[in-house]
Amino acid sequence: MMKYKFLILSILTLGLSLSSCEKDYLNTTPTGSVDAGSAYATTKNAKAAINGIYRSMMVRYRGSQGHSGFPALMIINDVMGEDLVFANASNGWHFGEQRWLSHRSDVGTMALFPYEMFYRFIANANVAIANIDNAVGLPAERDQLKGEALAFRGFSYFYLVQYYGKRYDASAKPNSGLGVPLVLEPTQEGLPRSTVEEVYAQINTDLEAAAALLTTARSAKSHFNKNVLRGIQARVALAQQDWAKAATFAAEARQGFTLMSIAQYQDGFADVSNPEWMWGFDHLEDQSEFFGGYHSYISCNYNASVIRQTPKTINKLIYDLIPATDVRAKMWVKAPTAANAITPPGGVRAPYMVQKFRLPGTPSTSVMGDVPFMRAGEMYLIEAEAKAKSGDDAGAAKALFDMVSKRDPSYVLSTKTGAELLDEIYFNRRIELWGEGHRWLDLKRLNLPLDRNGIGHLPAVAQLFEVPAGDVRWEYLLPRAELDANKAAVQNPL
Amino acid sequence: MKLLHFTLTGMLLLVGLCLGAQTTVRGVITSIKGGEPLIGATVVIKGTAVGTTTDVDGKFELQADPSKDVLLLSYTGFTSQEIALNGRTTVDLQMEESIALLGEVIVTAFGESTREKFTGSAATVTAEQIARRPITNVGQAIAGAGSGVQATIGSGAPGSTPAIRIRGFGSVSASNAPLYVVDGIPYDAAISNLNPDDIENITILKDAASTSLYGSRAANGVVMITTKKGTKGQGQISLKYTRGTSQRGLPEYDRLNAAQYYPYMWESYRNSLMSRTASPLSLEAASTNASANIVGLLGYNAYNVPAADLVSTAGVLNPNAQLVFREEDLNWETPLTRAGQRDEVNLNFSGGDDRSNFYASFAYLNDKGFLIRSDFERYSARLQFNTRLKSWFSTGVNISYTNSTANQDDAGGNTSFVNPFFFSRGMGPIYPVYAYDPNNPGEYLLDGNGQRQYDFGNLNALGLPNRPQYGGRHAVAETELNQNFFRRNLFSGRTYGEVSFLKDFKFRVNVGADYVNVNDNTFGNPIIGDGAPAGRATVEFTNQLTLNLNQQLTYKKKFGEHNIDVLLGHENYDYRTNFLTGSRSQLILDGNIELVNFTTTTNLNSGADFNRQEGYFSRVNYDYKNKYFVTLSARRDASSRFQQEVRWGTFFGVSGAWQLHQEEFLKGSSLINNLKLRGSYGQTGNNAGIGFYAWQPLYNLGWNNAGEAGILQGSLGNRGLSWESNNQFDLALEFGILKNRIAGTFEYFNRQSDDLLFAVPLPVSTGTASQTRNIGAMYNRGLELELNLTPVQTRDFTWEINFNATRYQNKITRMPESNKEIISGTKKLQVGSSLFDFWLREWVGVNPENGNAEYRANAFVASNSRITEDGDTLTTTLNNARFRYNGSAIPDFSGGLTNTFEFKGFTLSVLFIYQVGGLIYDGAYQGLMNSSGYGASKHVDVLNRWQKPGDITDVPRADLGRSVDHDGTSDRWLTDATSLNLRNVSLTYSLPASLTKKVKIQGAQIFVTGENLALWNKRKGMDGLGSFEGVTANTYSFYRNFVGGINLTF
Repeated sequence: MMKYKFLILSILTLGLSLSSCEKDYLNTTPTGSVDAGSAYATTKNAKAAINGIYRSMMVRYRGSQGHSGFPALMIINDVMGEDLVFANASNGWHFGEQRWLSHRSDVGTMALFPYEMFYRFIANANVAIANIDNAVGLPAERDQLKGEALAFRGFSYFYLVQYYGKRYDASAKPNSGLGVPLVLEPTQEGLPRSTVEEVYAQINTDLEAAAALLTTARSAKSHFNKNVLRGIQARVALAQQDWAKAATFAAEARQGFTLMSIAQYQDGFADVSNPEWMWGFDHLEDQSEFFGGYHSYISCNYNASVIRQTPKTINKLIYDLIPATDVRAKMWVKAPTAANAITPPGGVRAPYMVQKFRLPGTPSTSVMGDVPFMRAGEMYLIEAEAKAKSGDDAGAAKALFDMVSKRDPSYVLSTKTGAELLDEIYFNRRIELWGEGHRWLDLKRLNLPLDRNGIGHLPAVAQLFEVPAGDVRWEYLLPRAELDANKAAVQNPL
Repeated sequence: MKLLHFTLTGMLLLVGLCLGAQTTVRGVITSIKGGEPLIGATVVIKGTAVGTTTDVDGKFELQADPSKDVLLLSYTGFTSQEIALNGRTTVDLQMEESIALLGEVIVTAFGESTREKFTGSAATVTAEQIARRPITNVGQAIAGAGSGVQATIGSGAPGSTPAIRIRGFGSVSASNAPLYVVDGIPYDAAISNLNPDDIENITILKDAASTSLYGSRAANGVVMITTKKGTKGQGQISLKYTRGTSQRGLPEYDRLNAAQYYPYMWESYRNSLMSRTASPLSLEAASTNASANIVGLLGYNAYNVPAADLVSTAGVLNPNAQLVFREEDLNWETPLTRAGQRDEVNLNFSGGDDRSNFYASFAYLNDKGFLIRSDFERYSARLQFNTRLKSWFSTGVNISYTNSTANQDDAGGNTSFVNPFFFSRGMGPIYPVYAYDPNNPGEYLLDGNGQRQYDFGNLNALGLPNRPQYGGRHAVAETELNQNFFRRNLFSGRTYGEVSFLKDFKFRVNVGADYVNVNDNTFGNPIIGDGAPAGRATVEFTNQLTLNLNQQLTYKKKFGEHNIDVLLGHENYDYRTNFLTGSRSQLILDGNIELVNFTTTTNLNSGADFNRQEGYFSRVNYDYKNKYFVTLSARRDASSRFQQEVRWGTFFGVSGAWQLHQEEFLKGSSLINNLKLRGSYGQTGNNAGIGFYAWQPLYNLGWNNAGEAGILQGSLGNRGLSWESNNQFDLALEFGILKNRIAGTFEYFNRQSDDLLFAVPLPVSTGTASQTRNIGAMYNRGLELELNLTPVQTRDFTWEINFNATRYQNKITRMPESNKEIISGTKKLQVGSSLFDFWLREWVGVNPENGNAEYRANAFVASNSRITEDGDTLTTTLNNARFRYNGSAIPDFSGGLTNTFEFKGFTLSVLFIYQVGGLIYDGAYQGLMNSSGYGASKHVDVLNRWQKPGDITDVPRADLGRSVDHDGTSDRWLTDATSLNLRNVSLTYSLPASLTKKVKIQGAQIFVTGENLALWNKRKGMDGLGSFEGVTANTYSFYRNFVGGINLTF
């Protein structure tokens, strides 16, 4: 009998864990993540979910240190233009971009990276827009968060359509060329590309809706607020050649921001607390991408191979036009020496090399600089350009004077008019915003050709010297990964 | 014993008296091999119950009728024989060792079997085979072990584990690696924790029926590793010492030297000036420009003539030019490598009696790799003790401790500057390792202490030029100055209690725990490299615990000729891991890499993960007359990786065998000694390789935006996600003929994977890269052949050949509706293709008129296409090149060949691993063939480039500006992967017993052995056995080693 008890006991032991705790035992949860459902349960959680999108502007894409988020794109926008010149062929970072190869290969990094990044912002924003109304919290908090999400979406489509779509032509409405797929709610399905006109319409809808929800208040300068929105709207209006709107939005956007002093201008463009910065990323020590950071490519003194070997220099023709009294003349050094040009230890010095972007310390051991996404100076330039374009030369000259006189105390109000005045505005725009991500987009929206002749580019590096306006190469190719997974998408002309 | 003899003899005498014509027949039985007497061999007169056994001298005597009687000889491990007396009364008989290894132990899931009775399919590696191999990681012993088992050649990093695949590839997105089970408990720790000398047996279970008791984890096969036990009898002490040296096993690709390099780069630059779209130069202007500028573009003038005079406008190197750098300084591989050294000591004690046995071992290994600052040091100890405490109760413990410390190479990143293999491979042949004095040509630039200093390629302050290739980086200095090491402890324990009751029942409880803690340290020095100029360090601590509890109730009964064996069990698996990692930068004082010695925290993070499983299982073994065998098994499993409604899965297996040679019609056959037909069918599952929380839609923490908390969409989740199933059928014929001198197995398998765990790519515009879904189906079908031949077996000389070959086809039979085609890297998945079918742009060749690379065009585009006389549309633009399937990375067949020769005390064993067919995408070669990159090294094949109209070649014009189109990714880089690897040669000499007995030693062996002695394949430098996917990379190349040793047994 005892022995049968053994048998019964054995079988009982075998079945022991069929107890009621099994479900809990097998319900494991990670410590590094939270359930997606809780992300928009409360406005507190939702705020974190929106914050995450800002941070995702700052991280590596495609596993490439040279493609760390929006700041990398800012640099590449200049690399693909003519004013940013590589000093030599030593370090090949972004050569593929300068040669216009990377964005014109469907498997190239630049075909995929902006597409992937902006659609990531959009996907997260779509979840926010779809769910925020049900989040527990105050209505004002919900408005703020929804406004930021809409702003993200509008901002993202604006960049996507500029890269992947044909140039917006205000004289050819509706712009029926292909833009990008308009994904407006969380989905796993591929959508066909909407037209450029439709995409711009959505951008304007989103930005205006966001502007209605946001105020000038915000918790940190990395966030969208009404000023930033107006700034983006001004950029959009400029791209759509809607001069009146551009001037209005630009003037409204800069309200409350003052231009840098001469001294502040020489601080290295690495601190978000600068009064002129309207929108920027505040880089903390534990959020550094190290060799992927903005200043790791654009500064004069981050200790990276790319900075040491191949300093970035400016188009010598436009540099030589900067008056000596203009602080911007100090942003590059024509004849650098150990005395007048800062480099990392062992860094190469090259004519016209950049000094504008500089991390603190000599030698600098910093791994992070803050990133200027939008400055008040740009708003003056937009206003000046828009007014000049719409025939208000006096207004344009005034807006230009308001800014340039802060850079150059000797500057006098321009008496130029028409095309000459515009040239002066564009000259200022090019030296003011160098390295901040505008040049290629400006060339495209103004329907200008790329012309790199005679301004310092080395054939071995640039390889490409001219691209006519309207060439198919002004449109990025859609990434192969999208074409493969989204049967509704079609490629741009090869 | 004497009494028994007496009785037996008496009985036999009695029988003899009854039958008449009986006399005493005497004899001695010895082994053919070595001539040793066989003790306890059975001798029976055929057709009677009359018989005896041999004594300690191998002698026997019995009563028989010499005129007609036939003796039946049998002995465990030896082939049975029939000897007709033919009138003899004295016979000296020799028996042959059984070659088919029918008695070989097969370790099965929750049990053990023998090769003879096993109904499944398995490959085994014995302790004896492992002992021949000078390996640090026991996983290396699996290569060539048997058919159906593929192993990569592995990395040269000491202690690294090769990848193993069993019967092809069953999964797309989940893991294809087998489950490792050590002493009956699934094992999550690194295989390098195991001391190879402790291993008694490795059994690789291949078929679904024999693995089905591991249910959901068994789809990719199971590697059962069993450690040594003590055996009954005299205690034994074994001491083994080995020492050896290692070097790089894979040679480097052949690359241009300095004299070839300048003219080549000159030409490439010149051509780019002529081919550019904007204001191209004429030939004359371009040549002049190139001669004037090429040295400046390359930065360094390695010669003693002025830069402008180095390469003429005809592109010829100045004949008067003499190298100013010493040749050895232009070789970056030399200072990064060294003669590796390997020392290993193993000491073990074992013994046992009727009730208990024990095995204890202590081992030390120090394996210094051939790359500087890469080594692996391991201390290990193991104690196994088993005892039958009561007639009804047995128990035992098997505990081990391993401490490993390893300096790790930085070769992980295929193209990171710190990777010494990438760096030395890609460095142009004109840049010296050490700085040369710019004012004193040919002399080193000495530092303040009169020492040579490394040329970082950016020492402008010292008047040195700027090196365009990896300027400001120096793999030698970085490897020397950085730190990257781990310290690891493994505590591993197994114990059990087994109660026998009701005569036929046993109840056994097994408990196993593997506890690993690892401390990883990395340090980037502040002088050069990723850590400069501030210095940075990361310290990470990881704890990992695997707990396993299983209970087994068995019932074993013999009913006449029927044997039945039933198992009922439950297993609980609980894996937990947690980590703490911190990084800081800004080194304070030199020489201390602890975090306290830095000022700024750049990362501080911790986390924990859990993976749990619960399963119930049962198995029934039945056999009739030792002829017919049937095994049924089933398991029901639940996994925490899946949502609760779908987390239970059922898995099963059925297998059978028929021992034809036990049938009457074959029993007396002198030709066929073994003939067995077996087959199995089973279903197992796979969930490894997907996330622990794959079903859950998650937002990830850690996306803080400056001072504010942040989270971001991480995964979409999938509530219906479940196991991937693997349904496998196999059928085999095992045979042994001519006294098993020719033995082997033919086997067919068909492995069908269904509900594949597929990371289905989503449109990029949805914002999420992929979602894991159960979609798709695939099969692996193939044939396996194993042959064990013994061409010679005599007293003094034996020659054995073990050959295996596997051929299989991998085919995708169903794809996700939403993604009928998935392109990933160089492969495209679609129905009808295999997992490793290359999908690449179609290279056509080089246009003899202009040297342009040409591809088959997607569409005619006037600016880049032409139509040939044959009507083909070719393009010079890679973007417009058409993709096509062009072959597979999966070989036509592959396997291993071992030849073993034994002559007196000498044993020579030679193992080859081979692969026939299959393609490899040689990306490393592509990198060297690229005509762009100032200062980048080039393969010598660029010398075959197109240079003038009319040149017929397959290497396009050198043109820095056209490398994207000329050298881009296409099927031009596919190379035949057929390879032959001389994996191991070992020569062992066992001192004769007559000698060792004198010094009171039971046995003594001395041996020399070596691994990876040669690799023959299509291209020097290409590692054709390095990956299953058919790609090459800049990784720690495999090693070649030579080791000698001595093994004493007391």
